[in-house]
Amino acid sequence: MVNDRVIFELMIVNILRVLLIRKLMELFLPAEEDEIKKIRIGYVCYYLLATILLCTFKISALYGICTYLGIAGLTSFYRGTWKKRIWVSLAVFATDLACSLAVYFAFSHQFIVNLQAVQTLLLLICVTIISRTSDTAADREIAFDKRQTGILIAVPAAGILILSVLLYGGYQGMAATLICVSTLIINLSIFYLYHMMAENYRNLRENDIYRQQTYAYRNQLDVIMESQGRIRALRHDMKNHILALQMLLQKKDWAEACRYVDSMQDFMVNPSEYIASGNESVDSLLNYKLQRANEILEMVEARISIPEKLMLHTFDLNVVLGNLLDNATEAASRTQEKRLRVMIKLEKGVLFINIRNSCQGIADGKQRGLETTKEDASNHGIGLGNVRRIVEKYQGEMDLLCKDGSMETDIIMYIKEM
Amino acid sequence: MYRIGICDDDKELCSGLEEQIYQITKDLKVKADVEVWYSGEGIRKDIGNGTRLDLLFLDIELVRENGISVGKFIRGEMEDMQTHIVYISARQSYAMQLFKIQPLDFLVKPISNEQIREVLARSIRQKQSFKSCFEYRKGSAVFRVPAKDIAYFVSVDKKIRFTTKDGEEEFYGKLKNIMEELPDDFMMIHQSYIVNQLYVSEYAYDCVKMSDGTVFSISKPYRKEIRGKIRQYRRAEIHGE
Repeated sequence: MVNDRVIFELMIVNILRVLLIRKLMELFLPAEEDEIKKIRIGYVCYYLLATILLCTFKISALYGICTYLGIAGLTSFYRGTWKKRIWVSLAVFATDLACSLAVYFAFSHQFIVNLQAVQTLLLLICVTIISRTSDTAADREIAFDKRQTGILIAVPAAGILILSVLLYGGYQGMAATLICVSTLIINLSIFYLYHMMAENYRNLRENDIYRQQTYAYRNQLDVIMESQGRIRALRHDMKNHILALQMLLQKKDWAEACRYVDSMQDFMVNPSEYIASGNESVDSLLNYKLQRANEILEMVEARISIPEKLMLHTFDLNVVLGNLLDNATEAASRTQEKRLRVMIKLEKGVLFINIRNSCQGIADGKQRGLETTKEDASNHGIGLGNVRRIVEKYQGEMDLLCKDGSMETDIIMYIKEM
Repeated sequence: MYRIGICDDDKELCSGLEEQIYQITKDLKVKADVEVWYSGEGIRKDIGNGTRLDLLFLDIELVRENGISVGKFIRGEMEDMQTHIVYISARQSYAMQLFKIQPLDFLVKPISNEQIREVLARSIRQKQSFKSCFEYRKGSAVFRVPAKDIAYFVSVDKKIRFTTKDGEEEFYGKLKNIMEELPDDFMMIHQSYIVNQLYVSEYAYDCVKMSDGTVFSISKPYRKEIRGKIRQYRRAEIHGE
């Protein structure tokens, strides 16, 4: 009878524990909207597994291993690199374990229900502290390189080791409790450290984009000076040109006169001014990127119809167009055709961006996100994540489609005016 | 008969364009009738007197009455959303006002044969998809209305009210049922609203603004679907599907 009550209470307390674990995981791992159902089912399964195991094995090595594997399994429902998943699962597990053991050593050596409740309460406090210090949206998307991940993983792993030794080494009482609490504090710090690293990383990226923007503006300035220089040069020689034309017209040499006018027109065209939509930020970014694309590609096309002023942050536009054009140029340069085409259009308050480039080695069909082919994987593929985030900010939609050796990216974004 | 207008103060350009249009429509096997105006006032007067066009090539920089005000007259005072307007200009940059007129495209002078062909084909394709009529019953009588004239349907209680530029009509029915009979250009954005894309002047994620100023909210379950449709529609436009 008592046992039944114990199990019943334990089941209820465990619901809270699993919910807390979920909250903690989602502070650091982004969930796909379509996957939410699966994630829910995953947590229910995890809850059942954890509860049954706890009732049968109590706190033991087997229980520990199984709950860790459960948590690690749950991370697979989220978006992220496997390195990050390992870190999150280890850190979450270590926090949970440290909470459990701290209470376990502090209060009793007996397995009673109240203990579970106190453990969960401690976990709740920890989760609250962590969620206060972290900035979720940005922290979720970050991926680090090998060394950084190594350090991040080492701390919770060592924590788990210490805790296991405590449990099986026959330690007891105050000393053991203190060690558990210290491990818990170290573990909380590692979450905070992660947050700081993420922030630092984001700043670096932003700087990168601003730097690019500066380059683009400098380039645009050159382009404008060049265009004006040409017009000035033409005006300087205008008298001579008019004289020459008059001569040709008097001689009724129409063909030669036409050729002469054509050559004057050619003289005015600035070859590095690809885009002149009047929208300064778009013009400068595209002129800069397309110039670079033109150096390494065979065929570069652009069709832009947007107004001179667009209700869109220059920064956001730079992230979207900059990243997409970099990726497209890079992919096209590795093909035979070396084609790139950009279309940007504003219609009925919807900005539509379509980028098409030749590509190879990607299977036909819809793509969610693309794997990078660069060695520096942690810094790459992030670009697309950033683009996605900006597109989501404007409640838009992005679609990548690969077909017959060409890659097409479609984006729509709502430009608010109503 | 495809009625095409050209309005530009450059007479050379007009006659060149006219010739090219006749040539291309002949290739496309479409009967076309091209009319030319040299001033904004001229075309405005004729349109005001009832001249109807399917497609108009309109210069932005006309001398007195410019392309923007002619566009505004067609869309605003004439409430005509059906005439495709293609702006032509020597400049490559456009003011926001021009986008409000919802032109089919912008062409930069000198205009290539290829560009005219593409824009003509697109215009004809879009008009063709819109030929059908909408049928409804009132009592024992059956009425027919060209689908392209209908801006939106709203269901109120058991009745459906629809709006054309000539006014409103009402009949008994269910929106779900009439949605099946309407061409693809109509979108169901809410349990009780269906809108014609042609008459949407602005989209947002959660609402649409119609050309007569009415704003309808897009209800939650429809939002993603509508966004997907807009994207598909834009895609189809550039690919000529």
